[in-house]
Amino acid sequence: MLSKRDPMSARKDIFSKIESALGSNANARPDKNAVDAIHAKLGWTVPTDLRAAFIQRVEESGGEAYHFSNTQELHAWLADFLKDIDSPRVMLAAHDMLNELDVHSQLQQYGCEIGETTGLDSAAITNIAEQSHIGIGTASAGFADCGAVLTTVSPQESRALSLLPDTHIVFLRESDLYPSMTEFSNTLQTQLTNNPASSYTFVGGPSKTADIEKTLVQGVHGPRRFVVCLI
Amino acid sequence: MASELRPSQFKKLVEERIHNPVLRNNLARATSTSLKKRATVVADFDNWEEMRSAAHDIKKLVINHLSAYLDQFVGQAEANGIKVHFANTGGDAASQVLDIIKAHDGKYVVKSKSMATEEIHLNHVLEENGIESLETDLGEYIIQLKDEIPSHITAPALHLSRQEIGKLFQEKLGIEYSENPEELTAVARDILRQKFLDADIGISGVNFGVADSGAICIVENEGNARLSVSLPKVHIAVMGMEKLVPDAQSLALLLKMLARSATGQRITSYTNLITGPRRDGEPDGPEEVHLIILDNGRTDLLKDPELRESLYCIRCGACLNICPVYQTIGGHSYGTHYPGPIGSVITPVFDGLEEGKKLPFASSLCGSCTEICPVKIPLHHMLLHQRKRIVESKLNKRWEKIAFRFWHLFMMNPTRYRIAGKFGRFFSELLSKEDGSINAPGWSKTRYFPAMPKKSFKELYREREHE
Repeated sequence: MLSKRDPMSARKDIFSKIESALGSNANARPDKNAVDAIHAKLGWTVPTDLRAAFIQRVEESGGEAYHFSNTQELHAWLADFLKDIDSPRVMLAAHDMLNELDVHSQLQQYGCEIGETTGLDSAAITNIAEQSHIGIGTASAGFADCGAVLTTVSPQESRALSLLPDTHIVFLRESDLYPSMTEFSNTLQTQLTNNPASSYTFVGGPSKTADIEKTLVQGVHGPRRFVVCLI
Repeated sequence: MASELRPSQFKKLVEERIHNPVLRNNLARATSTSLKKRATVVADFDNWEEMRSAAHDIKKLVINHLSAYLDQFVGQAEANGIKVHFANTGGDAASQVLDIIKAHDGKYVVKSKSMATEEIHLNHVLEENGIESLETDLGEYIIQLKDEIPSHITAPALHLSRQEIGKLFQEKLGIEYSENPEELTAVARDILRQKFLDADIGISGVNFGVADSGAICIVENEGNARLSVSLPKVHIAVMGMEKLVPDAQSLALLLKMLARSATGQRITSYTNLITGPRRDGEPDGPEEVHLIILDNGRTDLLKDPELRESLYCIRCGACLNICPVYQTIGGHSYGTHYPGPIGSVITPVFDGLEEGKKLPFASSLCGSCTEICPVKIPLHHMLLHQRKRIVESKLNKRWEKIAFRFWHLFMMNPTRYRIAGKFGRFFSELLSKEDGSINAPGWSKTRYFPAMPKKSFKELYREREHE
């Protein structure tokens, strides 16, 4: 009971229990080289065509992936994508990459209603996301071995955008493709230890479950569709 | 229902379940599907064995220097704005969660799947204190509706058929009967979406803590964990203290292995890394993140060098899927939240040797669990070690000891062995039924006990020589 009242004492208790189980050696952190040496023993096979491997893996995990060589191709695809949705409501990350690709004006041209979130509090943003059909965001890395992309929460990009709309689209530059998370781990390390964002998510396909008789169902809580636009 | 399950009731629980053809069918389908999917994606690597060794070595480093890594992890997490708490026992951890919820005047909790919160009976404690705590993982939601505990580490409702789930939804949610998984999932989606929007507190477990950055990693497919830790104002995570990895490269390795071993995926739909509460300027996310680091028996595992490696476990559930005993009796028979081989190793420590003394014997010692384990925990050796502890503590039955004395007597001398064999075959023939099995009280109720062959190997061999 005492430990519950005094939070610091539980901490002390546990550290002293560890020490009595393992000896004081447990308190000395191994050199980083010790960890590196274990990883150095592993060799990884890298696919020759990262893009093709990545697209295949995204599709295998229930997502869709398209490659665009230029903005025209992208705009044509967007037009085609939007034509089946009746007055689509879209939530768009305020990201430079999307501005450069002129996504905003394209969406407007096709009659999309774009949820404006500047200056709103999180409850209002959640509400807009909940009303949106599509959330469009960005990814800073993609991984060819598994088809996942890394999304990061930022002042430009909310969490709700990737969670609440039925379709989640991410834009990713082809130059940000990596063979696997292993080759990206140094960059991740730097991001996590240097003023990190509050949340990073490796997204590997749409929301899915197989909890009923191992039958795969897409869109259990989050997006039913997950689309990667590779630029 | 959940409270009736105790590891000490093992025999009774098995007897209740083993003759249920629906359960046997559900188990066979689920475990074989999982194993097949796993084999496909493990084949991506020609160095899977080396990866297992590396994962083992990484966890060994962490566990052998646990206080150092824990200290580093906590320092980083606190620097990032996570409020870190420690709990000696499950009860302490549950009270701490309750205190945090009360401090925020919280009423509605959304929870994502977490073995640690199952272990500390969190829902029970919250419920007793008038707080509605809703499981949001579909499998967990189903078993919460049914008032059961998970029967598998990663697939909690694996023991139920679509018909059973359909009937459950019809009864509890008042919907029209359906056994279509898509329709049932859609019903749960609609109900739970509103709950996510209404909840004030989100609770999750933790799959990995990254020591040198203080980030916590939560692995999932449904998006319910991400919703639980994104929409409510407060996020509370409960983590077993052994869950650490040193750095991002180690995380990358273990993620490759966890998804493949657990669900046969290359990666799950959402692998979340949380470093703290919403930063200045970020549009949404919780205002507070609490992390409760749980001992609850883990330092006891640490103390015993023969059991220490059980703390390497990443809770993938592969040892359950491959275990011929689990495949036959299912998770609830073990009477604990951690079923299967890993559960039979740790439960006698978590729940006490007396309570858990039956579980280490629920194994054929075939070693499949050890072979499939992504972090190379020598599970079947540990089961033997637990058996030894039980025998040494004189917790086994007296007649068992006498029987093994006789066994020893007959096995150590060829003449005695031959005579015992003759007697055995004689009585076996007298007692055997038409199907060639024997009724042996206490044994054959849940098992097939084949009668001994009419002739011994030696006799058959001699006959061959004469031919």
